[in-house]
Amino acid sequence: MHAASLLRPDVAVPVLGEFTRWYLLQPLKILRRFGKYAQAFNAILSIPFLFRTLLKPWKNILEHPKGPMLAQIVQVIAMALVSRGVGVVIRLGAILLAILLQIALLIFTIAYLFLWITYPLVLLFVIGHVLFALIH
Amino acid sequence: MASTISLVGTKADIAVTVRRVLFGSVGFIVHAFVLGMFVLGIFSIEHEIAFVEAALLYIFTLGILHRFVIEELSREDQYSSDDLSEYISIDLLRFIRHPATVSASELLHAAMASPRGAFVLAELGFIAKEIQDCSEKALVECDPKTILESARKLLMKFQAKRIAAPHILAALLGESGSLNALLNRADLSLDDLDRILEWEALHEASRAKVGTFSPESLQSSFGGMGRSWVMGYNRILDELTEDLTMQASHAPRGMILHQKEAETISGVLTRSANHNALVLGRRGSGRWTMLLAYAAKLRANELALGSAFSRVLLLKTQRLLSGTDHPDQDFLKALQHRDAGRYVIVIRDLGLLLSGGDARLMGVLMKLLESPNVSVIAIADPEEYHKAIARHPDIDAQFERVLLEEISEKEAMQVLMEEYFALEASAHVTVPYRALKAIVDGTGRYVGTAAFPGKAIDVLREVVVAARRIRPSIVTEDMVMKAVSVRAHQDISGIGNTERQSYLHLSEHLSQRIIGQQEAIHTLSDALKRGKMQMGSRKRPIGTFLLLGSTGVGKTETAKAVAKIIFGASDRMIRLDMNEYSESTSVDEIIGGGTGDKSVLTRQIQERPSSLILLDELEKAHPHVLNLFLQILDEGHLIDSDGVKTDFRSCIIFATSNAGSAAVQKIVGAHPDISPADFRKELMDTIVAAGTYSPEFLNRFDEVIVFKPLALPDAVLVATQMISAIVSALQKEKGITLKIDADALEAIATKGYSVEFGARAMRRAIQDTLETYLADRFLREPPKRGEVIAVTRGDLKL
Repeated sequence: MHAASLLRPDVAVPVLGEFTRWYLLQPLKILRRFGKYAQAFNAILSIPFLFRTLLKPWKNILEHPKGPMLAQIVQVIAMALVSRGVGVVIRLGAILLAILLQIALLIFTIAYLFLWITYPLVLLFVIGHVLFALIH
Repeated sequence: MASTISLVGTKADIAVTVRRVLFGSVGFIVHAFVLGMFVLGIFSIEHEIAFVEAALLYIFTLGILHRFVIEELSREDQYSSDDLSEYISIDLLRFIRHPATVSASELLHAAMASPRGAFVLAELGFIAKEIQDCSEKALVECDPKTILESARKLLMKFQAKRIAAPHILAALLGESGSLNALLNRADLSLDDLDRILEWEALHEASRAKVGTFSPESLQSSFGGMGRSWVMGYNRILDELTEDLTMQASHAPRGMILHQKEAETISGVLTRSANHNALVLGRRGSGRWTMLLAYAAKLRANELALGSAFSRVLLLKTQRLLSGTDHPDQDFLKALQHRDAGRYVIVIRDLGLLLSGGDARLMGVLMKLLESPNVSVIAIADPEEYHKAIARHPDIDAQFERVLLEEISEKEAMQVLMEEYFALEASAHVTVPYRALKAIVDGTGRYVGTAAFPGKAIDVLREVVVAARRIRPSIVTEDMVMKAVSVRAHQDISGIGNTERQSYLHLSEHLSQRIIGQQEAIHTLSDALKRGKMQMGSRKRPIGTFLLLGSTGVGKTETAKAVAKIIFGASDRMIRLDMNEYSESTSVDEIIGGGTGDKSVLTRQIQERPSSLILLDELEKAHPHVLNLFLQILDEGHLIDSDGVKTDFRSCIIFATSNAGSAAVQKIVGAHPDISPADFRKELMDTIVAAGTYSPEFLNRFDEVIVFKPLALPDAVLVATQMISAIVSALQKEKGITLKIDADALEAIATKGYSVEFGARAMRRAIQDTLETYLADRFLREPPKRGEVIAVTRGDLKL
């Protein structure tokens, strides 16, 4: 159809109605999408899993000690401490990163939602502001 | 005046118009102008902040409108209405220049212009001019509503919601379509058209990309970063194995083959005992792909459940056998860790490990198989299993065997289509539907040593590489035939001229070699011609024949002659003397006894599907052996002891029998001038009455060819033919011309002929007379080149 036909009431009214309905339902979609991203981030860096395995040795490095019994005992204890120490540090870092990611996602979602809900008012305000600026 | 339909005001039309206005070329100019004004305002007027806000809001507004157009206006939901015009898809309507008055021609042009329609036409092998020429007249009086109605009926069949370009083309090319003649001209069936449309739908679905930053993409890209940190790490483990996680993440996502077998493996691996699987399948049957798909699914399940990952590791067998001093200790140490999660070790060449390893390594393998947190998946083909694995019963018992059956040609076609989609983007080569069909047909019929889909994919990759070097880069059927011929070890380029001539003049060629059996030759030739051209839907060998008659009348000679004429050499014949198959255990010689022996019949046919099989003295075969051959006659295939299906459809089968030999003498003795037709009927009646063969058995063969006894004149011709070979050899090798008197010839023939044994003794007679005489003469007086030697009856002392 010609572009001008879009202005005909029998075309424009249903399209505007559809737009309004779609616009009002979008916040639910935004929240659903937030949920999916939160799940994805949790799958990539799972905070519960990292906490559960916080004290486990880093990658379970296995080396069998050699030498006298006392030396072997000392070697095992040292290895365990080092390995678990490294594991704790790295996992805590990962937990921090995961928390930051989730917080960032939440902030972004809230901001986006806020913008979406207030957009019509903001639009009117800005139009007014521009007109005012032009007049003055 | 051509009839038209109006598409103005439909949802699709509105969507296209809004898109064009907002995001078409004019729209972009307007947006650029407005944003330009804002930028000017920022730099030149006070209250810059207002213009920044306005610019940002303008962009945000455009974003909202864009999302609205994509998500809502362009959405094509399931629709149920009588209004045909509402069923048109946006993709098709974009290419209609005048939506207010759409004629049948314009529908066709829009379909051809659409990328989806262009894809279908490329696969059909049509060019635009061809269709335009045909449609000019055909569509003049055609009502577009009829086309749309036909297209709408196809929506359910192809699970589509809106009429798109492929459906318009299908409606026009279909059975009652105006352009159906084009399809016939291209030698394509309606079935082929359906396959292409299904293929196009798959292609369209595969093009739908998931966004790079979508939740699914992020998840598959980064996986579960923290979860693999708890698994065991060991330098030796890393040297001896390769982590398959990356490979598994690139496993094919389309059609997944052997899903049932993958589920079986999943069940086996989660058992508490005997939790190892041995995947048995022929090369190319998709064992490795199935394994990767299983690994990908395992990872996806673990991700979803939030559990630690299993490590799927491929054992580097060669490295294990040669690279470490104490492979047993090191390897076990690496796997001793019993933390959360487990190991799945994949052994790709278990046979090699078992034949190359010593007792210590066997011990390691047993411990591995019995270890509770380690599961082993071994991959082997049936031959390897019998030769190497079955010989270690204690290790064999630890595995649950999972047999991969070869997929059907239809499934192979779908896999091939998906493989083509994967290659298309990088190779920029067009592979028409007919070329794909030729690959599946050719490899299915002529390449018996590997399985689907691997053998078809190999050929596809080869022809795509070859097509990249030519312009235009289109794979042709000739290229496919060449590639298949290499793998089949024979030239299978369709009914080529040589082969065509061989079949056409089969009767004449056979008559030159076989004496005195004109009736038999004609019957045989006609049956072979029918079989080759596949009158009716052929699911059986090219020809199956029972040759009856007394000894020495030319039955075996006929088989050799057919092998020479059709397959190019007398030795393209597999000859089986049924005397050697008179025991029940002889069945193993046909289908294998689970030994992986290459000499069995099925293995020979797998390597050379186009062969002549000669079964001598069929009545001597054990009934179990006979049943196997009857299965081949009825179904055209045989399943051997390894579960492999062997295709006999490219074979010719001859069975000879001396049944009724005594009856032959009797009938000819009683009626010396009996006609061939009457002789045949009397002989068959006698055989059936005697109970040698039942009528049902005889009907299993395409033809029962009766060879009548030779008369003396026939024997003379046989002798002449055999002696001609000696004459030619002498002329060629020694330059001597040999002339045999007519009465000498007759005397030799009389000596070599008998009513009972026909011309069986002719070779011996020629040796005892002519060849002995010539040997004596040449020893007494060495022959000179150019000498002419005349042989009389007296010389031969006959």
